[in-house]
Amino acid sequence: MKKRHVWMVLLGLGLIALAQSSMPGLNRTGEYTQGTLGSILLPAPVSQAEGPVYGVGAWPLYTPDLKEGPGKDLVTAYCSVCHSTTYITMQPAMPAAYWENNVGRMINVFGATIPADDAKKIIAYLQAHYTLDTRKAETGSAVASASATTTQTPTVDGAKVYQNCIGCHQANGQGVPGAFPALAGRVPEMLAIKGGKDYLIQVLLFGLSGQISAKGQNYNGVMPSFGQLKDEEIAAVLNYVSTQWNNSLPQGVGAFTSQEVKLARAAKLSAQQVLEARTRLGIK
Amino acid sequence: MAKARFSRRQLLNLLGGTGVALAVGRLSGAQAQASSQSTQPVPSFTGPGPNPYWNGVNPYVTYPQKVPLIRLTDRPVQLETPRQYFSSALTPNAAHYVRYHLDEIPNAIDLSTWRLAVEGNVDKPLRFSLEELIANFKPASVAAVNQCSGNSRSRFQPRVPGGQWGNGAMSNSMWTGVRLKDILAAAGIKQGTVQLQFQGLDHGKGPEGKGSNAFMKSLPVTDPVIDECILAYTMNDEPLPLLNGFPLRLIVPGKFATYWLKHLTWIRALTEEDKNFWMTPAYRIPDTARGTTTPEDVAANKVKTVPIGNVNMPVRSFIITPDGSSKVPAGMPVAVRGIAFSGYGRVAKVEVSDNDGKNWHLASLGEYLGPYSFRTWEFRWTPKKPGKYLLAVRATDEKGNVQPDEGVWNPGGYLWNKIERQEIVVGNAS
Ligand code: HEC
Ligand code: HEC
Repeated sequence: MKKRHVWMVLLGLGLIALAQSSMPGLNRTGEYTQGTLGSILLPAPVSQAEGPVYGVGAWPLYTPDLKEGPGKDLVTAYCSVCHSTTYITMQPAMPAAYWENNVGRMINVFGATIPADDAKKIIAYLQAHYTLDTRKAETGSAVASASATTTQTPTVDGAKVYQNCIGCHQANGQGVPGAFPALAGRVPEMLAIKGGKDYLIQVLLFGLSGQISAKGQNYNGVMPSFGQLKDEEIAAVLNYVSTQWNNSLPQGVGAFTSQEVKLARAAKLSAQQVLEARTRLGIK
Repeated sequence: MAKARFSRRQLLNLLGGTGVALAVGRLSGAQAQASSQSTQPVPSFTGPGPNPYWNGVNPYVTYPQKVPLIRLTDRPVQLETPRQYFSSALTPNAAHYVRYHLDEIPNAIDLSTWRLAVEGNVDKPLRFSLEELIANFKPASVAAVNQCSGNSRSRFQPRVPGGQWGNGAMSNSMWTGVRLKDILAAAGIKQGTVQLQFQGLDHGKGPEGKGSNAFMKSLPVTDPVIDECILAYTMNDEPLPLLNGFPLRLIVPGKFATYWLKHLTWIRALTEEDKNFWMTPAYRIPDTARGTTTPEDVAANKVKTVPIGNVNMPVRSFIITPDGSSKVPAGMPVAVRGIAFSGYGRVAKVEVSDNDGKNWHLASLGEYLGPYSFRTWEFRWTPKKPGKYLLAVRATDEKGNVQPDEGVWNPGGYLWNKIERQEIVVGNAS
């Protein structure tokens, strides 16, 4: 996310904050990992490396499942970019109007990029499931409501992981022209380029932001990092998008493995650096 | 928790659509939580009434460098300190609560490249390594309570959005580091500076220029608190946990934690008032006595607001034990214990009632660690007869501020300091 450190200009303040071209000393940031709700385990001691780097592991995630219903996928996609959906489930009993106001603020105040149609569906979902009337009935315990996150499927289903993407790239992989680039018909082209496979892993791990063009259409959006997903999940979703909608792995290109993802993590690129990699590869 | 302003119409809708009574809901005494007898967890949701529990209703979770704390949110991380950890004046670092706004939280910091920058309208822009901060400046210490502006937000009636904290969004530490004024003197703050802006390494995924991208706070350069601020590199004589701001945190004694920037990396002298999201519209309070207002006045756009930094933290006190998880036998002398503090200075007096505030008795005060610290108190209580008792506690600070028995209401859910209660059942001793 180094791009954003190119610092904000205090416009209109008559004062230009000195540009921060980097975050000094920032060594690792924003790393999250799945935690287990409902059972507190005694953490093992860690061994510390010598030297000037002071760090800990990834921050565990304890995100309760959202309620089932139409629009849930959109909420998962659009409302997990800046924070987890725990921000939704933690709210107290609010009247329905709150959610309309809230989603409007996410878009207008915080810069969430959500097409108007989807925003409507998101509001409808939140009003159907997270208002006073709908929550009063909730009797389950915090643990029960979160238990779904503790059951882990042994083999990862790429289609399931792709649920994280459909809000933007759409279920049919066609994306939204001008907002979210298509994956259908394009992933094999990227895979055919030398280095394209690594690039795709990087997009998932570190995100992508800035001006790009794809199939002659311009985009200037933010693809959030999915570094919080497990290596297996990233490999699975990449295999899924490589083989859906008439996409297929080009000759000589093997399926994505969790090992490849694991190795790529070490690079710790910024979304800006991923954009640079894309330019170098000449992806269009 | 920051709250943006509602538009008038939105607020009217919001209120029109609910039958929530506006009467300030009276807690009939906090209910015990984490009771050793209960195998039932708290419900995952409370409302529309106030949350009746001491802490918020969320599950225990583990995080690096922390004992199990109560998860409010997981990305960014917000963790509440359980009641039991307030039995001492200094909160253990591993139990110190956590409140981030944005999700890019440093997992590792490289001190060979990390530098504190002092820039903007200064004679000499400066950069300091941690080594230089430790070696070149005389260390100073202050015991000070770090309390989230929205601590106890789950008590509000009607409920307001934001993090539904119980009472555990607060902790107290002995902070040691460099005086802010020494750093400012080294850089030379130039004429025309109106505010000092602070920013740390934590940031977010939103677009540049938005509150979702950067968290920054500013204090007026003339605020007397500047002279009391410390850039802390230790907390209770230990390095700060990553989640509490390693390697350096701004300590603003007496003020709410929104100004206590973690991973402090930039100090900027500004020549114009900071208008970034986190200064306005976020973290603002009604410019009224106690910062209280009504949903109607907010809806009618009648409420003038000021940054929460314009006030200090109102006086508060808490009963920590007994917590209601056991009965007390009649005739047995027991210690009622807790903590008190005020952002306006030394706690002068703590009083305890065992009949819901009808009569008050002086408690004895524990060690004095400084004006901005928690101060422990104790009251010897011998309930004569079996029955239900409603204990209550109220503190008075050196400026004469006394805790009131009414809550406050404002749309941000800030400044709660109503008298706390605890119900205790006294049983037969024979
Ligand atoms: C561009 C970044 C971004 C996106 C995308 C985003 N949010 Fe937020 N949201 C924020 C920030 C920043 C906050 C304030 C965080 C804090 O103070 O802890 C916030 C706070 C919230 C809150 C807290 C209560 C309140 O009223 O402020 C809720 C609820 C919320 N978001 C819901 C959503 C929903 C629903 C979506 C999807 C429609 C969404 N957010 C998408 C940035 C974002
Ligand atoms: C919040 C919306 C959003 C979500 C969710 C999202 N993406 Fe993206 N994605 C984008 C945007 C926007 C871009 C283009 C970024 C730019 O304009 O710089 C992009 C770009 C990409 C690219 C690179 C395309 C190219 O032409 O270089 C790939 C591959 C991709 N996304 C895959 C995924 C996968 C797989 C998922 C789910 C795990 C996903 N995306 C989830 C918004 C999203």
